[in-house]
Amino acid sequence: MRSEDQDPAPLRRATVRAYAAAIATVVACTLVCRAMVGRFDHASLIMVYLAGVSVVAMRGGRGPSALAAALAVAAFDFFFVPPHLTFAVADTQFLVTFAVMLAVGLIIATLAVRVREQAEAAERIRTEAERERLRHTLLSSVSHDLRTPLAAITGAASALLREGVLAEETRRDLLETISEESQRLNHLVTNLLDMTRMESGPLRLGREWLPVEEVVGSALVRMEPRLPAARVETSLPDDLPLVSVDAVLVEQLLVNLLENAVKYAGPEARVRVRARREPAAVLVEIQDDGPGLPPGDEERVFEKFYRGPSHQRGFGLGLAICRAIVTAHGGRIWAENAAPRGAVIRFTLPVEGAPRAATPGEGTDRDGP
Amino acid sequence: MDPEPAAPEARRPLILVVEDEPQVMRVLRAALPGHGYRVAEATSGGQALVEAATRTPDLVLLDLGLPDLDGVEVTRRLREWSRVPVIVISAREQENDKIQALDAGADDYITKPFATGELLARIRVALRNAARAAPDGESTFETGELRVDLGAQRVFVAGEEVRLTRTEYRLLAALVRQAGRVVTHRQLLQEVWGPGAIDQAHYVRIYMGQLRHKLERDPARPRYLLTETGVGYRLKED
Repeated sequence: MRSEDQDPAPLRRATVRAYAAAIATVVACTLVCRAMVGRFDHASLIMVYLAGVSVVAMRGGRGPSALAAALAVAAFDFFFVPPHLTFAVADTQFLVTFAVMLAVGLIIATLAVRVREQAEAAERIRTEAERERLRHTLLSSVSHDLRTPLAAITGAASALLREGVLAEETRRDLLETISEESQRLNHLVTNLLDMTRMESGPLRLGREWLPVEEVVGSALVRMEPRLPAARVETSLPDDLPLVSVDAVLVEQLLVNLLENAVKYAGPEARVRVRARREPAAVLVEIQDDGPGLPPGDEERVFEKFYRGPSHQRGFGLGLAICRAIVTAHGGRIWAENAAPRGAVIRFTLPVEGAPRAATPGEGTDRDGP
Repeated sequence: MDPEPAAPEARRPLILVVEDEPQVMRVLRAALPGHGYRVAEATSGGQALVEAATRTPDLVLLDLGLPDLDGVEVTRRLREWSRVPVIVISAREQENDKIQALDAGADDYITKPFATGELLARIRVALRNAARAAPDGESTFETGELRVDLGAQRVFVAGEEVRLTRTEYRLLAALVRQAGRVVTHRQLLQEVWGPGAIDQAHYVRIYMGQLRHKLERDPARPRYLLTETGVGYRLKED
């Protein structure tokens, strides 16, 4: 698993620790055996030592396990085989006992180490399979979701090219299809590129101090065609501090959340946007009055390619992008079901310090013209 | 609002389109004449500068992603000798270039992919602002229920006078003088607070918030004082 060119110092420390643990385990076994001696026969004491060797083998590598096996034999001989407190052996049949004990110890050690290595390999394969599955999901979802609008555009455009046979109403309909589907395509590609950009390394934030109201406002204005003012209730207290954020990304975050609310709660959804001041952050929440999240999916909705139960169109990247944006700002995002109905998504944006001059002066000419 | 389609050929505004992608050029070439504009074409920054000098267009539509010079540089060189309105066409990843081009003197921007209607609106605003002889200190600006009397320095919403502080008024007036056009944070800081405040972008944002509370019915959903996220502000026109 570990490549040899890793920083050698921590690696050496880990090895030393494994050998120390082997010695400590044998010492512990010896103490247990001391307590048992008299009431239990030698076979039981040997079992205790073998158990100790197994424990070492499960945690450490081959070397520490072998050391534990050898030490166990030595300790057993020294403390419990007459004559006591010497390595001399009165009864030669104990030599056979030692040999078998050492052999069993080494076999246990080898088996345990192998099992552990196999588990690690299996984990590695599982991770790779998961990555492969994601790649596959991405490809199939890209090809499906990109092809659908493309098919609509191609169909509508080719119908229009054979002009002359189309009623004005049909023409308009086809043109609208082209316009809407190309917008959808743009949206999908944008999400895909955003996600790729966010995964390819830490996001570079162009942080600026700005009022929460401004970024909420620009997101609401951008969403206006799909979410008219009459269906949104905003509540932003006047005492909200400025937040130091990347305005473009946070607007994107809010638009994604509003879009999500409209998508899952339906075109008639009512949405509530609220913000409040927390001790070290500003908390923003967006609540809809739709059917809510499937119970148990509150965390999964932020995963890539998650789609709700109604098999909505889209890649299922919107909320994953939201989480990447919030995390990059040092905040937290989570989802819950609201009472009596609907879903609510909350996120925090940490507030550290204030801009150098929080309130620029008006100078002497207050209340001018 | 468009120039009269029947206007004689020579009086129709000439738009120099600087674009190296044939598909986009093709669409613009098809769309603009239908709205009363003549089109000149350039496919590189160098050619754009030559065309701008020889054909003296009424407006330049400049793609930021050109093969030779970048759009910001073209804007800068153009501004050394010409006041021709420039609208830059930017892709979404060119956030920074867009702001630089605006600060270098471009009049407005539009992000790809754009709807023709949106582009035509930007062109109209840019042409009209250029036609206004000088920044007028006398006139009155009106949009929706908002009326700004630049001569008397008074502001009304739905007929009611609104009291603004000196700084609030100067910020509003700066936007009124560029009505319909995007104005960057930097330009507003420079104009209202002076060159010493260039890196204090939150000044603009705080005062913009105050202005919205005084002038907008719902400050969290502005109708007049629009945010151009990451760039600046735009005063909406009717």
